[in-house]
Amino acid sequence: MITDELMTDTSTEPAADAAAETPPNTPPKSFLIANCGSVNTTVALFDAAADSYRLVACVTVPTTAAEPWSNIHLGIQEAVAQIAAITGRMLMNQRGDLIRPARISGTGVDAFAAVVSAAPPLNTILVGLYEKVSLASARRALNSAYARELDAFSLADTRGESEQIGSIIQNQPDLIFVAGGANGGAEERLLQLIDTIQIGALALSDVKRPRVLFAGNKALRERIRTTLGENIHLHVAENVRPSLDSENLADAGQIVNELYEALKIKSLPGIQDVSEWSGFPLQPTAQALADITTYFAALQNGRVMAVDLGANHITLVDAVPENRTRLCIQSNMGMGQPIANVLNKKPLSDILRWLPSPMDAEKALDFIHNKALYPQTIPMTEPELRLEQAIAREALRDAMAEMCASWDNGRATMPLNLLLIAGQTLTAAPRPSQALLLLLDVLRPTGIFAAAMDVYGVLPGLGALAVHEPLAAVQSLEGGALLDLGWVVAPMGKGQPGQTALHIVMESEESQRLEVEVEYGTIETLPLAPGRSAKVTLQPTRRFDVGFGPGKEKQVTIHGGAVGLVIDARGRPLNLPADDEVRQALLRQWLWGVGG
Amino acid sequence: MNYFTRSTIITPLTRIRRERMLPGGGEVIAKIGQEVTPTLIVARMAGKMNFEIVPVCKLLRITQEELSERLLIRRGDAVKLGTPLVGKAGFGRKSFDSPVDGVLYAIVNGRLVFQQAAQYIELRALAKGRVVNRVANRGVVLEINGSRIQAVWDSGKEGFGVIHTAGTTAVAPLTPVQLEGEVNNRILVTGKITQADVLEQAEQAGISGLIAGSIAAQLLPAARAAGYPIFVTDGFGEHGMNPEIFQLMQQSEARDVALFKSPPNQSGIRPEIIIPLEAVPGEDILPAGRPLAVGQPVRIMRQPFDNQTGVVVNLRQRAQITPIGSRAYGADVELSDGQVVFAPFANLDAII
Repeated sequence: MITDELMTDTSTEPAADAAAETPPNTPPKSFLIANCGSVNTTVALFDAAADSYRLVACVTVPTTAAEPWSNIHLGIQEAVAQIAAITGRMLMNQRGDLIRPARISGTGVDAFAAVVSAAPPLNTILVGLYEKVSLASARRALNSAYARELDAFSLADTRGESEQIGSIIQNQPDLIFVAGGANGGAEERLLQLIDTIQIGALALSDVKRPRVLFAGNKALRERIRTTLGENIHLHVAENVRPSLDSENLADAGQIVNELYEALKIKSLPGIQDVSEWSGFPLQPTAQALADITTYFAALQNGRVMAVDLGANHITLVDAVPENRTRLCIQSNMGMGQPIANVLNKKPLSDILRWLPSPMDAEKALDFIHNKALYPQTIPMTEPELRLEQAIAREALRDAMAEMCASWDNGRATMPLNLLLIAGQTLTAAPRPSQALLLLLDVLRPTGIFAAAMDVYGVLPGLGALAVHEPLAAVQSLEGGALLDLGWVVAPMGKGQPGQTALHIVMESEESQRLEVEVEYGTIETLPLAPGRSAKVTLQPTRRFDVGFGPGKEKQVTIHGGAVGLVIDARGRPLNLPADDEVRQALLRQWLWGVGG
Repeated sequence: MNYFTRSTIITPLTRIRRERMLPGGGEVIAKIGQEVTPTLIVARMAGKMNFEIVPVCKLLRITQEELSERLLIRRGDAVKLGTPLVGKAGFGRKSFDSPVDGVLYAIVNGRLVFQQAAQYIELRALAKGRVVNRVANRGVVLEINGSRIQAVWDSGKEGFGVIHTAGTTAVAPLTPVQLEGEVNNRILVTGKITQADVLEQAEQAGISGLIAGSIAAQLLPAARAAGYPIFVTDGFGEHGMNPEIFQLMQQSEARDVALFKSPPNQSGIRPEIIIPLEAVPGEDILPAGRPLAVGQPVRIMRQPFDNQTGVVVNLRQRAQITPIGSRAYGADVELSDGQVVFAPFANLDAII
């Protein structure tokens, strides 16, 4: 109930007054978390109910960082206002200030946190000695942040020094990332490149002058510091390639992320107001997603992958317990403004081949470029939906290929325990099975694993929250913040079409025993509703392996989900027939196999 | 609750403030309060800079300390080929003359860095107006009274000229026949561009620019390569131009028009078509970015009602199930043919 007292500005009440309402040293009980993406901003309210944290309400609004609003805080305020209307709970005062902490009367909220990916990426020039050594490692470190490579200098660069200087001046990078020289290795060549950087950087004004990150031969640090002088801001990280056989990306990756926060996030219009609301540092969204994926890997004691298909970025996280989490971000790919970049790397036919029915190539090309102009739009017809999903497949395939090339082979063959799915193109699909099929087409995982979808857009926010309030994050996840899709069984092996790959027996208390023969080349779904569980006996035929040896039978207990139990016996790699009609019929069949 | 959507400004008379900014630091020439014409240079900066690096210490086999003692020029000094750079110092010590023309930009580790004469980027006003602000060493803000149309795409060039409406309808394509008349130095307005050869013929005909409602995406490479600016108001495809824009263009026949391209790397600032007018606007238009309201003219941006215009008649409070089975918040829109359809907020473009 709103009273006159609550209508006054209570957001700046003295601590003593707040303390009178909220007992001292009581941990926060309610949180607002904002996920500020390039196109959409999602704000979610979490609160304790019956001694456990729950997602209470969630609203998505357009991100207002760009024209005509030029104030990212405005969208967050609008979302909070909508949450207040939905819940009947006053969260802001008349001035639009957040009421903190929560009052005994129920108004306000205890804490606010935000994760951000709305800022443009760090424009970066890479500098190293050898393309396949120092530059490759620098690239992998850069891929862990929202950064874009504009140019690269190396010994293989045929341009003269004056052209390289010109590149620095033309491109006006935010960051020049220098790697190179195993510790105790070649020095002079690298120092020559530092000279070039110094000239180019000093040519730019103070405001435009790039930061320099040196993550190379540590014996050169002081000489580089002296060479660059006081007018160039130098950051130093551990050598990304201390020897030919070893790589150390974490330190440099962390500094790049910190620079993204300092130079890009903090430059967003209106971000200062967001910071003032937040009791925690603003965090890059991908970093928060990596944190929560790491948590899941520890919880599952197994490998967990997260895929976030965003508007301006594609984020892949691969986490295994007791090991460093790999985070890879493609900042020039996504389903929004950069969507047409997928055509820079592959022909339109690669996209069209995923369509279950014919489409005119010129119309498809028009659609792709219009989507770049209007990234916030959503499909309202079946052909446009299928085309978006086809583009998503190729964009993800491309991102996966680049990222997986950098991941160690041992990790790539580890069985997957859990797949986390995020990004509106996937989570807003009319049926979650469509998103799951899309990822199975792209990731082509094998074995037995579960899948969950971030339908509310809260996963990164929970990652940010978990650092400070782990209990709140854990209970919110357990309380249904994610949509369980079910399980996937994807046997390894090859056979002939029509040949049985797997015999499955599914038994649950709620439904009768189900026995299914799954043929090679097909994908099938067995229904198992959320909240249900079933004992499943997997009997692969001798050429097929579900993770326990060829032909080895395994019994597992699985839990239901929005999709159920998906058996993907299409084999790896997927072979799409060249004939249009045959291929389209097969794609339709696969779509039916997961429920349409 | 408020619902924000994309918006597009299409207005016949308003007060416009438009930045004219250099891509980097330079020299702002225009002064606050100055009246400008389209051709007036308001700011300029050095363009692509070339550097020549002369490794003097290595060539003369001297130390950096000795160089600093014997160097005859200082940073910022201009030199020509043959200008003495390093003097003799005792028997056997060679002098050194400049092998290049340029300005001594820096001395780095025994090397002389000469900046060679650069071409200048000159920023013109493009429209008749008044300077109301200067932005550091980057540019100015112009105030212009006139018609304002926000476009969606530009070919990377900007310019100005006199409007000439080619074709008679908003969906008519540009044809070679329309280029046979008096089009030299004109900014042509057309419904759509569907053929690449027309772009080339237009360049040969000497046009100053092209405004189209739509262009086939496959023509993008040709459009970017054209020697004149091309602005697209509605998008890619064959749907033509918003009738409201086309009508405004027809009414502005023979008037001056300026095409301001979208600044690089600046999110949200769109290319704009501005037609300066002598008339003084009355009330300012309502700002873009305000919440959607019943009565708001809109354009729908996706199938099945792609590029159709109408008016919002109802804001749905609950998410609706779409024909493909997804859920979306949106509004009911009465199209120009009287049909009332549901469109997600995400697919609406409010016309302001």
